[in-house]
Amino acid sequence: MIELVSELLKIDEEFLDELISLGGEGIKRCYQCGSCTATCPLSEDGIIPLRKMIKYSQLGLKEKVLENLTPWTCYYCGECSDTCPKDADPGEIMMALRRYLTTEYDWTGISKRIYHSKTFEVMASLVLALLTLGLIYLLHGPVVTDKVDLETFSPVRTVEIGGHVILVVLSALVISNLYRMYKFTVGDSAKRVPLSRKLSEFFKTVPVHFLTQLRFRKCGNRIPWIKHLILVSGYASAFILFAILLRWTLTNEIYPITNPLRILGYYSSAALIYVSLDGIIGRIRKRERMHLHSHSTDWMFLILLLLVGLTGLLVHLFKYLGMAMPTYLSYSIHLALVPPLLVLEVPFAKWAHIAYRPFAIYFQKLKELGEGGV
Amino acid sequence: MKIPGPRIGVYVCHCGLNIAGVINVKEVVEYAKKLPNVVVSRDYVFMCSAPGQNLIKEDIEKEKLDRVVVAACSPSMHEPTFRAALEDGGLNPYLLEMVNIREHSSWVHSKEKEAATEKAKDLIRMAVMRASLLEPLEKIKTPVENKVLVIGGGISGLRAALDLAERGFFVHLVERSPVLGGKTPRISLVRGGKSGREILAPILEKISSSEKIRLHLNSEVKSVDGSIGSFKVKVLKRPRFVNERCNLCGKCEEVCPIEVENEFEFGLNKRKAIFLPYKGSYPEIYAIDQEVCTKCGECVKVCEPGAINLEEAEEEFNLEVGAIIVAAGHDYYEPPKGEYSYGLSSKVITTLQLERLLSDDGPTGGELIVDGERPESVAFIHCVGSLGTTPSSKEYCSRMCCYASLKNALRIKKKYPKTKVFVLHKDIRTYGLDEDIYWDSLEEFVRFLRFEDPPLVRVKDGKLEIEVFEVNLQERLLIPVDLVVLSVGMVSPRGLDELSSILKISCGPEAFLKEAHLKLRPVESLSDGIFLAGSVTGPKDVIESIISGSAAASKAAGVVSKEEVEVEPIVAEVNEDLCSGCGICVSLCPYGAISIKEKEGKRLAEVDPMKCKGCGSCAASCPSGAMQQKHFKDRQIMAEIVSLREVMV
Amino acid sequence: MFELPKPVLVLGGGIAGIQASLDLADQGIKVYLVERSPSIGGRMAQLDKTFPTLDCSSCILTPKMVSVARNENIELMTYSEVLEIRGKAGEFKVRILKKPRYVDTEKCTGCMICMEKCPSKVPSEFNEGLGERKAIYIPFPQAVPLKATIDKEHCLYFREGICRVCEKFCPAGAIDFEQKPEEVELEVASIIVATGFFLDDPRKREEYGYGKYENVYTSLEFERLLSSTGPTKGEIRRRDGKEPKKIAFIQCVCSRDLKSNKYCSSICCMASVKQAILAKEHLPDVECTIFYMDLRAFGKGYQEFLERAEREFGIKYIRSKPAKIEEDPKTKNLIVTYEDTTSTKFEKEEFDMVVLAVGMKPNLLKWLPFEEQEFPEIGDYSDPVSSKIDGIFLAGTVSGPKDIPDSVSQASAAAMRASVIAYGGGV
Repeated sequence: MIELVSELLKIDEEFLDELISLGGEGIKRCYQCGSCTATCPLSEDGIIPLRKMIKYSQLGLKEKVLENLTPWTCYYCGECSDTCPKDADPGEIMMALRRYLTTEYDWTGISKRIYHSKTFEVMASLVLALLTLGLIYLLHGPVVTDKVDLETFSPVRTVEIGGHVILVVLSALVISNLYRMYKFTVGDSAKRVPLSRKLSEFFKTVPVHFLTQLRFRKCGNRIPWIKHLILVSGYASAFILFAILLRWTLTNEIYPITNPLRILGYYSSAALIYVSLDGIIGRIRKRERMHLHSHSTDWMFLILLLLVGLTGLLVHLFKYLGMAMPTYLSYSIHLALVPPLLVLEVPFAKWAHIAYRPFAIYFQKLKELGEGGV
Repeated sequence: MKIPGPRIGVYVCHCGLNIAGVINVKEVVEYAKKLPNVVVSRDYVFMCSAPGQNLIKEDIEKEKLDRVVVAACSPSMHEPTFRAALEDGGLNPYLLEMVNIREHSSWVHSKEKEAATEKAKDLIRMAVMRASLLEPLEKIKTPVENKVLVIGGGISGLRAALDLAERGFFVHLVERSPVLGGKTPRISLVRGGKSGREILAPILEKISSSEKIRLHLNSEVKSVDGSIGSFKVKVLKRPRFVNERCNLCGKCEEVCPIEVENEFEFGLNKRKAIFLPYKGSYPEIYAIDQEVCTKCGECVKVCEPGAINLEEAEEEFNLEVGAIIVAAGHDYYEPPKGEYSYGLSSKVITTLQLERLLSDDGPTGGELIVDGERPESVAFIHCVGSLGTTPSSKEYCSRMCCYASLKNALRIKKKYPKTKVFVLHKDIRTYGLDEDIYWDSLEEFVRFLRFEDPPLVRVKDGKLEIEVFEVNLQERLLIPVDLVVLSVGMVSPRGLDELSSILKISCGPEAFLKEAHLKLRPVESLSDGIFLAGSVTGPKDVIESIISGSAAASKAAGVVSKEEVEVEPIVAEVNEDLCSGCGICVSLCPYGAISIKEKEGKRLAEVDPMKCKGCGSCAASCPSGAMQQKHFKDRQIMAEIVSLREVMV
Repeated sequence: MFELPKPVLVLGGGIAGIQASLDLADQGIKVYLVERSPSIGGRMAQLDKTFPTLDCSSCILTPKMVSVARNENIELMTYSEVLEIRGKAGEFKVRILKKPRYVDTEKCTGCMICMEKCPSKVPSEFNEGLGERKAIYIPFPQAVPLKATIDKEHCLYFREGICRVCEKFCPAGAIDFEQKPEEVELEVASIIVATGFFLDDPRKREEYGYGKYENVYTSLEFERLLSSTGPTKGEIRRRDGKEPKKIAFIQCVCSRDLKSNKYCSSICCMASVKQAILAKEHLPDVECTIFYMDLRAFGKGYQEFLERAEREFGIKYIRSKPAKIEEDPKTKNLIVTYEDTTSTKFEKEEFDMVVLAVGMKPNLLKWLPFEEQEFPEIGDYSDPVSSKIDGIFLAGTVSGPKDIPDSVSQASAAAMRASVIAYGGGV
């Protein structure tokens, strides 16, 4: 029997064209067999309407796609693409959807430009990096050449202020985009959920998934999850060392090898370099399913990470070797890479998933509560 | 003194373990020996094998047998085998009685060996009693007219006719329209990049130059009499009114006042009462549609070569042929007005009309223009008129519409890449190697929506919109489109009812002609000598119809390549002394084999042994017992029944 | 009436080859029917019942097989293969190898005593490897010709020089270990290729567990389980002998799939529905579920058959291509993981038995002038049984997946076209 529905869905062709240009070329091939959804190791947790997402995409049902959190719950193990009898590459379609949603959640329009023009992303990063270099040029302290005097060259206070500014801008952008994400996906459906409950669910889901990406471990063998954890711990340690503990790390001192700060520093660089290099090589060699297609945003992110790790290590190396100018230069470059990473990548480009993924799990829970779940 | 009577030989087959594994064959053989008139009783592992048959042949000679009972498998398997063995041994083949102790006993009572053995004994006893009353019969031979009639000049009929002509037989081809080709010339793309015309062309060329094919256009079969080997057919030829002097100038068309829908273009445009069926048709001559022509004579006035003769009369003539091929074709479902808004908007068309629009020789020269506009979005709706989707729909699947519609969806996408094309479907049935077209359509980004409940097509302010509940999404969608194409199914052709009663071939529940056996005899009918080709038995595409035509030709060739055909003599026979001419038998005979004749002032029933199939309905109903079925006479049957009850020692 | 026709060669003794031979013989043409296995009958002999009529397959097939055997115009050459085809339409020269059966067919009565006594057991091809036959064997009881054949590879005498038990017990003295292969050269006017199909290897989709899990069967294997002439005499049993309570049929395995074959194998939807109905007839309490993408019920009576299966027999249809099958190591039951595309529910359902509807591939061997393992293309669309080579015609599943009525029709059509050449026309 045909039920009456209040609202009929319309087809949006522009959305479809955009999606295809972001990597969704396989969308047209799908004949809705459902084996991708069934193969997904995460399907056990609940519904991953992977096949449905592809159908929504095929038919250009933009609203349905925007209100759906599925793409954020996928970690691109690629099994769906391996199973697909039509080579529609559902894994890459989900990636394309993540790219699309990133561009949609962002209200500034910068994300859209980044994703649709590689020149824009490169130029934007360069601009930010150059701006930072410019600032460093203007604000740096005296250049001591006979020994490595990093503290003088780069006063902690200045760097701290720079750091705060970046954090404020970053947070504002991320929070506002998250709010949009909330509006698209949860909307009014969690109206009746009491605030206390909303908060408790937040604490139950967001921190854990933010730090550990627990769901990821169910994907295929655990290796991708482990590598990703290494990366996360890498930049988390970097954050701890160079944001929180800046006063202890932006020094001229070279700590003894047993010092936890030094060890953590090595770990942090090693982690960043290893995982980003592994990703870059993987993408060049097209080793895994997720490496088969690489968008410019994928490369940018990996390259930036790699450079940050490398330059960080270089700073330490030059400091250790007592080479002053190289230390200051590599340090400047290292600093200059931070705004592109934190101000461009996180709110607008690939690193946006750092926020969207854990919040997707949270929002999914709110939706379920709103629809009468427990 | 020995009573001279029938000398019966009984042979019990082991059939490997099929019979012997359940039935105690030795016991049965011993039992049979004691039955009246049984002279010899044997068993063997495989009676149908050469050594088994030899046992029979030798005994006929040695023991002077004059009746044989073989207890083995089903007669439908080996009755001909044993009849041949009897003939080889010098005995009339109809003096054989075959008893089925396999399908009727060992196979069905495999767990009750004793009971099965007893049943086998009972069956053999009955057979022996019947065998003693069997009479020799002679096969009925009838000479074969080595000509074939093909009814229908569509592609399957044409292929059949050509095959037979190439094989050396004479063919009469009767076609009711003024030209050959049927529906195929209207299909602009069939397969392999070829149009219907391109596929027809080589066949038509050979037919036009063949001396073995006589064409009867504008003609219809009115009656068929006789049976296999000699059918007598009455044909009515309607006047075309235009002859070969026609030079295709077209002036007649210009002046003709009568305009009707052009069926060649599926109603997309109009034609006159005098018209050229289509350019490049065979024959390429104008014709006058007798049903609408008012005989005003305007055309005659302007015809320079004087090719028009409005006084041309109907003609009736007879044909004598040995076999008939029915290739009467099909029609398409015409949606009733309002179904999917068909008839309410000029932007709702059928796939056939689309086929014409996309055709180079169509009303728009191959451009997709409907009502003066080129649509930017097209939606195909499948299963129109099929699968019981609407109250007026048929229940069956029309087989070729999925392919036809996707082929056109793909054509539209390739010619006008920016057009949005949607296909609303139930199942996509592009079977076999045709799956390609589905994959190609997906690759060109044709979008598919699956429905269970038929979509609604509405006209709002002159624009079309479709509302459909998409089953894979479980969402209701609204799709505004510029053009809706209804993928209609095939139905049986106009006039098939009449033809079916003329030929005495029944139609199945789908209203198409019924074949003799759905699996193994797809081009044969239940009437010997009449074969069925093409879409007249059910929906088929062009290629399948051509194959079907050749298949029917093969069967017809099997008949007309013989000097004579043999018919089983197990037919009904009238005892004229007892017959009162009541006519009950006539009304009951499903084959029209009985007629009442006047003989020396008496009304008597007469059986045409060529038509009689030996069903026994007449014999069973004859009140006087005058009608007897040979080989199944009353006393023969009674002997069996009685012996079931009484055990004779 | 006409000049004497030249003979025609028919390759393949399945229903298509049989029908073509009978049609040609009916026109007075001599037919060489060459079949590589010891008996004609082909796939149809392996079927229990046919859809949608539910006719007993053997019962409608064997009379035709017997007609072939009895027909004076048909020279049946079983256990024979083609070595070479030369020439052109109207004058092909074909070399045939008649493989030695090591049994004198003039003497053999088909009594089957040798089969009983032979000690060497071999997995039965006729039963798709599910049952056993002996090294000396008749493939099935209604074989035509009903003659024993010794499979040299598994015969103890040929392998180790011992045994010869068959010879001892044969009442007709028909065993002849000295028999040699025979080469024959035939001159024929035209050739009909009707060599049929084989099922693709379902291991191409490893995730379905064929070959790993004991209760996963192919459609043909299941058909043999259903048949009364099969390894279990028609009792549907799992490997452990238990009756299944829930059977899953999975469609489109190695069809419509880039990993194996893009095309649709045409008949598997109907075959699975038929098998589900037959399973219900054998085991009234069994639950049958068919996992499909599109139910291709396109032929005459097929749609009605589909609906009847649901209505009368309670067969369930779920639109889904399952992702994988896993085995419960204790019960050997199978867990099918799928998304029901209509309800969007993700399920893991347990079944006792899984039947894979595996795709078809044509039997084309090197000596045929076509691409190996690809369906040969139509030569001329106006004559669709023609191949790219004049005088060679195609019939049956070798030219594309199709059902029995289409195979029979195509066979008759091929016979017609071949007969034209046999009588000197059409070249």
